[in-house]
Amino acid sequence: MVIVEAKNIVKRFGKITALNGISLTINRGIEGLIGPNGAGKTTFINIILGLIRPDEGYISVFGMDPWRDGAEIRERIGVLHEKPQFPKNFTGREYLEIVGSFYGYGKYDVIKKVNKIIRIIDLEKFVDRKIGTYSAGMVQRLGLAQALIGDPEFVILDEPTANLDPTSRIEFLELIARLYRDEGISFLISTHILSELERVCQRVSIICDGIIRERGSLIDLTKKYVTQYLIEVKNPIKLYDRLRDESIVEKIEFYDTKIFVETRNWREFQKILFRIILDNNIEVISVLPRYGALEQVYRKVVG
Amino acid sequence: MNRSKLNKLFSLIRWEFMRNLRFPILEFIFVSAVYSIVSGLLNISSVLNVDIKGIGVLIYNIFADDFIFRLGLCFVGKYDLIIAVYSLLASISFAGEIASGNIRLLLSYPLKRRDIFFIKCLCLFFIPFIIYLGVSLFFLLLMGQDVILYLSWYKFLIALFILFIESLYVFSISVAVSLLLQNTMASFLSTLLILYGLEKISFVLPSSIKIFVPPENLRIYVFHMFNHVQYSSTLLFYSFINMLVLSLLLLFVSYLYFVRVYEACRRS
Repeated sequence: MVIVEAKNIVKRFGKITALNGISLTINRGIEGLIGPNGAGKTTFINIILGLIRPDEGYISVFGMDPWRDGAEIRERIGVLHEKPQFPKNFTGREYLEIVGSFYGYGKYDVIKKVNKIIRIIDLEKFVDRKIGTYSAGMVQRLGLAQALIGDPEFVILDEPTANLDPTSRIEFLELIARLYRDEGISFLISTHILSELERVCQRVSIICDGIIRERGSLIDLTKKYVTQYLIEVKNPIKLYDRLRDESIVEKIEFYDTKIFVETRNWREFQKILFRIILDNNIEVISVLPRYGALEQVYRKVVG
Repeated sequence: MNRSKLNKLFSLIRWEFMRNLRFPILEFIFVSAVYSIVSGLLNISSVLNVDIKGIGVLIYNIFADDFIFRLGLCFVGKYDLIIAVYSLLASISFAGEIASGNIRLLLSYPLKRRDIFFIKCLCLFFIPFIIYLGVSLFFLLLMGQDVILYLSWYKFLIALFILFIESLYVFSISVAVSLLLQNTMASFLSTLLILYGLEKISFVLPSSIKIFVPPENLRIYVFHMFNHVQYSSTLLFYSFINMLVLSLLLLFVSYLYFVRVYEACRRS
């Protein structure tokens, strides 16, 4: 099912062109939106939410025009903005309750919803404290809670893990994956931390200078763009000597127990690699894309 | 109106109270209302050579009709305080919330822009008005049963109308400036500058024009209504209708801007 359909969206802020003809279709699932700072990610999100109006182009969200029918669309969307500024004089619970009422829930429904969300997001310890006393990680959790309180079908997360420590970041991503799996909530995650998207996203769109430069599933993009691999073995010299003579290998370097290989034909290289490993009885520790698959895709697309 | 819609509207009112009408804003309005009314009464009484030994004595010494006259006059006399109250409220609630990103946050929930604007105006305009009304009624009740019997409710409503029109004028300008500048301090200072500037300019205007400029136009109303000075009904009509039209026009333009034009993003 199509959630967002955008065609040739242009948005200018004075002389700056933030979006320069974006066309993108977002379906159910977990979609990633990556790009450098100032690429137009947040502007595109603001247009989806009906917070700003595109200068040109067509956009529909759940089949409606976000500028005209913004409130109806937002009944079905939850959002966590980048660096959210929640009112500091509210407690977490008060804030979630008032947000619940913004969705039209009555007093008792709101209390039930808030208690459920508090359990899911694990907010019990600090939900009755003033938001002004929260750490960055707590604010992000509260942000996710307020995005989920209206039982949305689609949640937009703009730089959701920017302020989180590595442990909280992993927990946060696991929570998103679980919510998709168990509750069927679709997500659009905008970030420039690429390793995050690799963990959870099914599809990725790369945005740069206000246009979508590349889009596809992680597997397809990896096949298309990833050419550098890192092979860690117990006896790297033997493998290095064998691989160096293969014509399919364009570049090879070795350092300590790791061998860096660059090849444009991964499938063929795989066959050769495993043949060498089996013939020479080499003990393999790991075979991975160098820098992370998405990072390589990103580097090649954005430049 | 269905229940869900009502819940949304009530939660927006709650938001206004928790965000913009909290301590010390509400307390400031209350103190300004008490100060306006009490000091207004004291000033006028001293001009009239009333022997004042305390507020209680004063209140028991004046007649109901005079009291209403004084009330009407002190609403006009304390125009400066009304400017300060509404400029502060509009700057905090409109410009402040835009600058802090709270409007963007509100607009990310399923709330209509129209409802947000309507509830903000409703709360910000009527809360000070109700506080001023409450304080006035409190002093009225302090005067005792005899005053209630002699009181001309028609004139009391006129006094309230003066407060209403004056507040609406100040409020509409404050809201328009706040939406234009979108910065709390800049909006507050600019509104003060505009309104005080207009007031000061009115002093150098010829009296034929002066009577159309606030708060002078309201002063002639007070004097006319309480039979101290007679003005023609045409003059009285034109002395307030310009203020009413301008206020409604400014509020309508502000509404159109907020609902149809305003883009809630950081770059704007």
